Amino acid sequence: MIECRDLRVDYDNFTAVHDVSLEIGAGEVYGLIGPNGAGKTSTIRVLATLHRPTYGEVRIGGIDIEEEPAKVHRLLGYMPDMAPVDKDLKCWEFLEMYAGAYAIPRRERRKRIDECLELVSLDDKRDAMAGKLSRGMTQRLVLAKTLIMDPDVMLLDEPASGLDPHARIELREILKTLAGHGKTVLVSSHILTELSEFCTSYGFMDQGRLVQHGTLDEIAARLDLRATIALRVLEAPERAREVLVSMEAVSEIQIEGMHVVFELAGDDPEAAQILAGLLSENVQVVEFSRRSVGVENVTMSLARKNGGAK
Amino acid sequence: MSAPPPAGPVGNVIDNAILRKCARSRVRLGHMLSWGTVVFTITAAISAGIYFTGTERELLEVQEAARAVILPVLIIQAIIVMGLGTGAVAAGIAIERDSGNIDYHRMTPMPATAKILGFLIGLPMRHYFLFAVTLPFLAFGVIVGGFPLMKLALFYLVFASSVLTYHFTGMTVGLLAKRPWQAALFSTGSLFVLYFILPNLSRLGVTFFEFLTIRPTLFGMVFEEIEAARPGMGGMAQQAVSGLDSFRPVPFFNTTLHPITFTLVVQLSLIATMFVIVRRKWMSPDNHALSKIQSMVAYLGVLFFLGASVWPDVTDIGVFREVLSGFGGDPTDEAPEIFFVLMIICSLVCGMSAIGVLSASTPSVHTIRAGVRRTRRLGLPRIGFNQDAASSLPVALLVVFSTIVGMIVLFRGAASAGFTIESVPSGEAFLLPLLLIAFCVLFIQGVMERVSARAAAIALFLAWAPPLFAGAIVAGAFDEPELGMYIMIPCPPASMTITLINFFDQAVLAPSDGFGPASDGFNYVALARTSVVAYALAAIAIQIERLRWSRRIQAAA
Repeated sequence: MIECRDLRVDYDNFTAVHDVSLEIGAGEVYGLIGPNGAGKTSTIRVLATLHRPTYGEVRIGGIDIEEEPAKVHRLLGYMPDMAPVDKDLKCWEFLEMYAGAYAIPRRERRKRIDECLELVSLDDKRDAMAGKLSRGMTQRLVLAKTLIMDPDVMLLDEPASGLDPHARIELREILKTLAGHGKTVLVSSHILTELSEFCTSYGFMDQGRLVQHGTLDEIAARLDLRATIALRVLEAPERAREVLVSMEAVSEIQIEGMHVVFELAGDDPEAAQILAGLLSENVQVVEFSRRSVGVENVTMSLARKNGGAK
Repeated sequence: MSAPPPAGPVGNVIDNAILRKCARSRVRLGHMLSWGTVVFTITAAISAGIYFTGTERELLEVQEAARAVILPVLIIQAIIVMGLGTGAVAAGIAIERDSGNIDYHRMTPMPATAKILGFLIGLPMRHYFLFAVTLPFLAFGVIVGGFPLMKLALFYLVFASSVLTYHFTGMTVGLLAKRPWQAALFSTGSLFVLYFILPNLSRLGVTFFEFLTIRPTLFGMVFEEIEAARPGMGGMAQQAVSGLDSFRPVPFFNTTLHPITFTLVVQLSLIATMFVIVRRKWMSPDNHALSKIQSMVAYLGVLFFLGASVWPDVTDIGVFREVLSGFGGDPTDEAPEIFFVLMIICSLVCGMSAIGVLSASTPSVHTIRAGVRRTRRLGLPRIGFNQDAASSLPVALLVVFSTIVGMIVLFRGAASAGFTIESVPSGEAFLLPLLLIAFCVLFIQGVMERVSARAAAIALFLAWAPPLFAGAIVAGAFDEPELGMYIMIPCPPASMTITLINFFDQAVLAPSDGFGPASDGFNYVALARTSVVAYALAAIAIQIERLRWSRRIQAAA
């Protein structure tokens, strides 16, 4: 759905995006992750046809965005960082304007506006002035605007920035719903927990480069990241440690109270073998759980790698 | 959610989403009542004051008093729609851009023209409503005063064209200015310049600028009608207001145009230029204001209108006498001086226009670098001529070529007519001003492209202004005029003046009419030569540096 090859964006002497190539399939929810200044916003603005790249080819739905931007506009919904609204309009008027701009027939507009407001839980604010909304509500109103013409592709740039924890949870739930509707979503964030629950694949950006991309498992395999096992014992965690030290697939053992956490080289069969070994040595295991590789692990690993490179 | 509804036709002006948004946000009932009451009260007070003072004191007949109401109402309308409305467009579009809302609109599939029209008509919608509030008083004046409807219709045709011109100016400024307040200030300031400064150039025969305003039509269609009804009333008011506006056929090369036709032609040309700029900025904020070809066409347009205004002044003795009549004295004695001043004005207008089109089309070093990288990556041999990243040297060369051709034609025409200059001097005196134009333009283009437009502006100010001021101080305070003029040479208006003095010194009607103080030790030839050589060296140096830098960039990409 989104294809981007050798994308480069220069601002004066500064290269914001350096030869980035990525591919996002239809129905995928792609998390673009990176610290501030990594080039996420510049990449999204190019995809949204709002900034001309120095070079690079970008296609959305198979359409070249430089050659036929008007066609691409019909497919795209875009929500910028700190999204603005028309403060002098009521919420429904704000949405009606975009319904009109996207040529939704008049008779359909009211229904469409009500659906979008309901989806973002703003149906009770229909007649409120957009300028009077809280930050979280404003973000939701802009999300409703983005949804008004039911775009195939949604570009969400830091959608949760400036939101309080409650509003952030609400937004995450809405995004999960959208992901469930089969939209192709590209969402950028530097807040990792926002993304981990609903993204199907990720791109990690740093200093304008896409340093890793793919599913978490693919990235973990490339980075040689190991799964983490956490177990809780009834007593004597030191005893568990002694048993684990002798096992080949185990490394990085840490004791946190009655919890023992270690890294596992291998998959489910190796985990089962370790559990059996502990039980055979009479270690009283109360809980045994496997934590899969998370966004945080990848980010930390990349940061370590980057730090080492520097 | 339901499936997306089928898309209807976009860009329908009546169902224009932006227009509706502006209508909703700008003409809410509260706004309409409060602002409407203020405007209604003021207009009513002024109209009633004029009408009843005239009739109750028996100073005027009922019909005359009613007609007298028309002018203040028209002025109120102009202030509301032109002054405040232009500010509203400039600030409104700058706020849309600053807030980021404009990005949403850029991404909708509405055609760019529909978006532009939506904002152009929508942003000053409150002012159109306030304009409508004043209409009953105008209707009173027209009906009771028996004012001819055809004249009023013609006036409103020009009024509408002027409003469109100014609102487009506001929109262009709003898209180009950095801050909303700058946009409002600049657009309102440009209206002041248009109405009260540029029309004065028509005293010197440059009628072009006078017709950017509604002044001639206002005086021609309204004042003259009032004057016809009661001699003295309109004429006095006209003299009190300006003393230079007259509704006369406009000399245009060897013919004349009806003033309304001329006004509409000039304003529509401006509207077309600004539409191109606004459209390009709508398509992408990164776009230059004008492409290379559009810059060339814009400059040729300025040259065309300027030439059309000035040509009759130097080739038609009747038109020239009319121009001179504003100065008093003996026209024949002053002929070369007036032509000289006319040439200085033309040089300034051409210089400003050249800087304008070069600023609009010259790429920054970063744009060029990005363009070279892009070209390399796409495997193209070079950057396309009309692309933003391409050098603006062709624009500079066209500016040079067309200006030189224009000057040659004008000098030859003047020499043939024989009442301003006797003949075109051959050789150096003729060549020096032309060479100066060429080197100045190439120097400015080189600095803009090699350094940057902003740095160029600062550098050129520092290179031009201090020598001008220092030269003036040396010439005036120390009584060293020749030394002062040498010091002024880096400043192009000063050096242009010197080369033109040298030209006119050799082109006057008779030796006894020697132009300028040639006999008190001044050596204009040496001064003019120094000016040209100084600019030639500067232009060659900056162009060589520009080419070397360009090669380095090509090699590094």
